[in-house]
Amino acid sequence: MSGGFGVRSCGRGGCTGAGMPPEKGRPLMLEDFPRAVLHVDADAFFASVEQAVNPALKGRPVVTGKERGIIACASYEAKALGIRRGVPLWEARRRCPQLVVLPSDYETYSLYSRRMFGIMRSFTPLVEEYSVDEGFADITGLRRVYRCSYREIACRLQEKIRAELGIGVSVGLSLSKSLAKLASKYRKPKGMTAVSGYALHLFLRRIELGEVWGFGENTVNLLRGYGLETAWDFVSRPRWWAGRLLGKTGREIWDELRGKSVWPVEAEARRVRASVSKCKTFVPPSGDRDFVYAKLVRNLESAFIKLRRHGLRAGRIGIWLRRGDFFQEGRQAVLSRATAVAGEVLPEVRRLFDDLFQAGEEYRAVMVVLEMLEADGPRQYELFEDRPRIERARRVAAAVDGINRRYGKHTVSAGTCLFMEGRGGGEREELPWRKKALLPGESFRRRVALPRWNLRMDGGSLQRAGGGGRR
Amino acid sequence: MKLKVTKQAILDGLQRVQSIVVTKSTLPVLQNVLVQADKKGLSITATDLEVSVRSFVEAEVAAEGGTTIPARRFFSIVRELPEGDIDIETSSEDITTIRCGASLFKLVGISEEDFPPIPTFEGVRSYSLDQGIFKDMLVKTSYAASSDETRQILNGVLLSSHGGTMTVVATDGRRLALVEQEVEFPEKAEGDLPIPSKTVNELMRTLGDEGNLKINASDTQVAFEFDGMLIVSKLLDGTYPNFRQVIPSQSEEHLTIERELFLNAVKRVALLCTQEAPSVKLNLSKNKLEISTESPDAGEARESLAVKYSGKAMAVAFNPEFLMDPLRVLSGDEIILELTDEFSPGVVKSDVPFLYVIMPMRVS
Repeated sequence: MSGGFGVRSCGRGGCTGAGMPPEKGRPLMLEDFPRAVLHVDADAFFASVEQAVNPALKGRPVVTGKERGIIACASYEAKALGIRRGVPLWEARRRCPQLVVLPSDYETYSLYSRRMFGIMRSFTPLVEEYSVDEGFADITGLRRVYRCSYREIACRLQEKIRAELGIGVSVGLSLSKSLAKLASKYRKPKGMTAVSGYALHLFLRRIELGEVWGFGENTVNLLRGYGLETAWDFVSRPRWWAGRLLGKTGREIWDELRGKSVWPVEAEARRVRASVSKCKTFVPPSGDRDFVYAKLVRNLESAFIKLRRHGLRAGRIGIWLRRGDFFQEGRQAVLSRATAVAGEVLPEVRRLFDDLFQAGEEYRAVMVVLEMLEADGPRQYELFEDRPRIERARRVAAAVDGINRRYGKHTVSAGTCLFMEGRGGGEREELPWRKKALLPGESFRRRVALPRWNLRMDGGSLQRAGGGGRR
Repeated sequence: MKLKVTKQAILDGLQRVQSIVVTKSTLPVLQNVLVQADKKGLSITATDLEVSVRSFVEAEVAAEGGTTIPARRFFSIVRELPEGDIDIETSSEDITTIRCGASLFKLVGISEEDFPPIPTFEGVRSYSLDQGIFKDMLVKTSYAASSDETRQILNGVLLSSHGGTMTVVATDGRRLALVEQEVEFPEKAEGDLPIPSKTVNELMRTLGDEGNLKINASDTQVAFEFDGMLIVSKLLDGTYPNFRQVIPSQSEEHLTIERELFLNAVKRVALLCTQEAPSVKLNLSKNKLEISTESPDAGEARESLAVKYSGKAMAVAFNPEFLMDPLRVLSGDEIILELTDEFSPGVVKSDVPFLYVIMPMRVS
């Protein structure tokens, strides 16, 4: 839907155009954009990327998430057939036999994500990467640079992403992050919605409480109890009322919705991390103790690699096992001293695992959570610790990181992980195309950091890339 | 129970047990003090089930007996009474009447049978030493004890008696303070007594500077008797780590520093330390010791001391608090600092039989 490419403020029902007199009520504000915040949200991001790298998939119902057995992302063509995120694959295939089911290719998604943010940064340095497929940009003051309106800048950005990456994004332009997020969601896919200060009061009337960023089910029910239905109803109440009912967050949302930006676009989005977690689902579920433990250790290693990349160390470790029936249970341990080395916590993890694992049960996912994170800076040595061993473990971890940086993640890993080999199988173990069609010099672990088009038009490869793994 | 006692005597007695009284407990009787009168006089006891403290007060006892009285009320009443004699009398319903001059109070108590008895045991291990010496040993070591409840055995000091030497040690796993003293004790009194910090604090508060102290210990309890006081305490559970193995037998470099100069310099530099990972760096070069710290948030501080040093140049970082603690409790003019490298423990010594081991910090 390219109808969204307008410069109208508010599209649905054509409520206002730029400069059009408001239908009813007094505006909240007599300025158009005291602050201009963009929210860019990729439409069905994973599926769009798959369609972008393999043009043969364009126009076809594509879903990703084959390796999990559950749909992670459905293209708009699939959504039109009633297929949504979270639906089990067998169910989706039953509803839509022509469905193209692909394994997730996170490598390509992250490359596209980086490029998308790169394009945003070419407009303004004030870009916040909110998640892999959405971000904010503060374009206040750029009208003079581009010699056009904020709306026009937003349209140019959207067009640039479409032209360069071949994926559709929806863009919202407004006065605060909350409003921009509501605006981008207002018309999807490939929509562009600008809400200026003049049109705020009209826009908010069309927004249900549940759509507001920060309002969960509980808050919505609470507010409904007071007779509120729309965001407009909420901002019509006094500010102190929002504060009394919902505390500081309530006041902040109230301000944001009224066009006063209180949550700045954080270009240095290095938020303080509270935890690092890694979760991996494996199918079919397994009751093999060694295999499940190997998966856990692999997650642990990945989590610690991430931890070291951020220069942190963890003081608490938690493991979770999810059974085939989705029941999950976990154990935690506080470490006697924080560490950034997986090898140091392995004995404790083994103990937690043995405590948790029940023979005869089938498990489908393992998760590792590292908490109580602190900067891996100065460290008080202990009298009764085996310092040579700890220093050795640190050096080993640094050497392993070095090798893995050069030859690919997990090239060197704990021997326990060998138990992962040769288990599982089934169609869900199928690899993304990118990992199967290696370029000369690429390895399974290490590939060129460029998105690659899947353009081989011979039936076989197309079949493999798009035909649900039948060979 | 019926008796007459001077205000000052009973106030002193109450003060010495007051800090043990529990303020909130599921066992209401722990908020009371046990008051017992016999021919010898009056005894006042408080307990928190871990530590029991009993003080003896001279009194004219007209009728023997005992009761328990709410401690805080009893204490504040006695404190506010005018100087002079106080008459105390308890009815069979545990109502205590306090008369002093024109004042009269009636306090509702709980029967003495409900009060947990002080464990009595014939100590297998029993010996005596000087109060002042023991107090000094505790003062020099107790600050190094751990308050981390996950390592309970370190939440106190260890009294280790072997071969005619009594060793008092405390450590939190990062630094360790140790004092040794020759004490005569019978061979069968040899052994280790891990004493909880709460008891140690009680001892430091109530021990005098001279006079005899009698220590009596079983496997789980220890009793200290001195100057009309009795302190009975549980011992910490567990095995104390082998502290001898972490004391470096030899260090590569030694330097002598004036204690107060060093203490004040560290104190000043430490003002710029951050909360999360406080560390000061000791930079040693020929005849010079530079103490410094820097943090991207706060700024930097450095201070130099002239010292006699001809060893190798090195830089070691320590937690400033750990460095200052022993300097505060020592009294000599000079201390000896022994270092090997930036990973190895540093040692602080003095002219008295005192030893302090401190682990450095890794600063990246």
